[in-house]
Amino acid sequence: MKLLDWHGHAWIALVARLYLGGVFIFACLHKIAQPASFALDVATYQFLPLWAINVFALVLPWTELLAGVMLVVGLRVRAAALLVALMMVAFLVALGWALHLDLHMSCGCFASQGAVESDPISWHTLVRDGFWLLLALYVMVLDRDPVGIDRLIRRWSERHA
Amino acid sequence: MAPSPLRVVVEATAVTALSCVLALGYNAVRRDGISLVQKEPYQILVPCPEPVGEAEAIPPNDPRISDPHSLVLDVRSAEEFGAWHLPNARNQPFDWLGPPVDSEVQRVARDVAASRAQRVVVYGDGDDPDSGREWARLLSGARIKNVMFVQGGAPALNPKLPGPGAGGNAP
Repeated sequence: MKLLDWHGHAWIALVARLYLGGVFIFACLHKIAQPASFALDVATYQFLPLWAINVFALVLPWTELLAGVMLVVGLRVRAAALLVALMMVAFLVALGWALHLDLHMSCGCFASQGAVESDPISWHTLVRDGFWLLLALYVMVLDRDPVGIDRLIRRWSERHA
Repeated sequence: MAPSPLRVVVEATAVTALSCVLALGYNAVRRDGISLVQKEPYQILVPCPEPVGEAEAIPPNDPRISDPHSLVLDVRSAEEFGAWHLPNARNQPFDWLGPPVDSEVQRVARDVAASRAQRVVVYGDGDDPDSGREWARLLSGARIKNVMFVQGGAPALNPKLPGPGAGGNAP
């Protein structure tokens, strides 16, 4: 367990947290701005039933936004990292499905299907998402909350206890 | 002190619930909001990788056409095949109105592989596009090696046949 107690984890997890938060905030912007376009992206995966596509396309970007902001500002970091990890698992399954079907399409992660030429799905996309999943798990397990709102709240509570 | 796993799960659930409220609320007030349940199927058009490869074009007098180690496919209609065909050819009609599905291409590719031929020579109507070239590319895309097609198709092999565009089932 000494490995887990190493102080360096706090700072590595901080960097990972800020990076993941930035990625998720950036990723949600076009999805929130263009819900119809993102719903079409979701449909293109041919993974979800028709009745679930629009609700998923509406809720997912907001979950990404909240989780991203929470990671950046240091609010309930482990819960946010858990959400990011679950989303990454879902994305990995969907990507694997699309690759299995040999679909030539954009992943829809940062732009809509119009960006298929610049952001096509591939094994590279799968590896990238796998890396982000590992980062999310790292933050979830090893975050020490060195900077952020949770730390400020905790200090304030200790002072006024 | 780290929060308990249960607390983390509860907080994550609360964030998801808040996301639902924000998402549905914002969608309800925005002008370009979408319906919660899609009624009509989405018109998705996913361009799949072209299941075709490149095939070598050979002239009608190429000796490989009559070579016994060549499998020769005549992809014109059964009627055209009945009217005339090369002695060593077998008929594999190409239907322009319903391009061969993967299973058909795979079946022919399996037959070709089972024939132990050294090469596959395809000839069609010689039109533009040439059905022979199309079938040759499909077979090549199905990972069959040494696929070639006769330039000019059947009319080039038998000048007595009407030229391209004179009939047949081309579009």
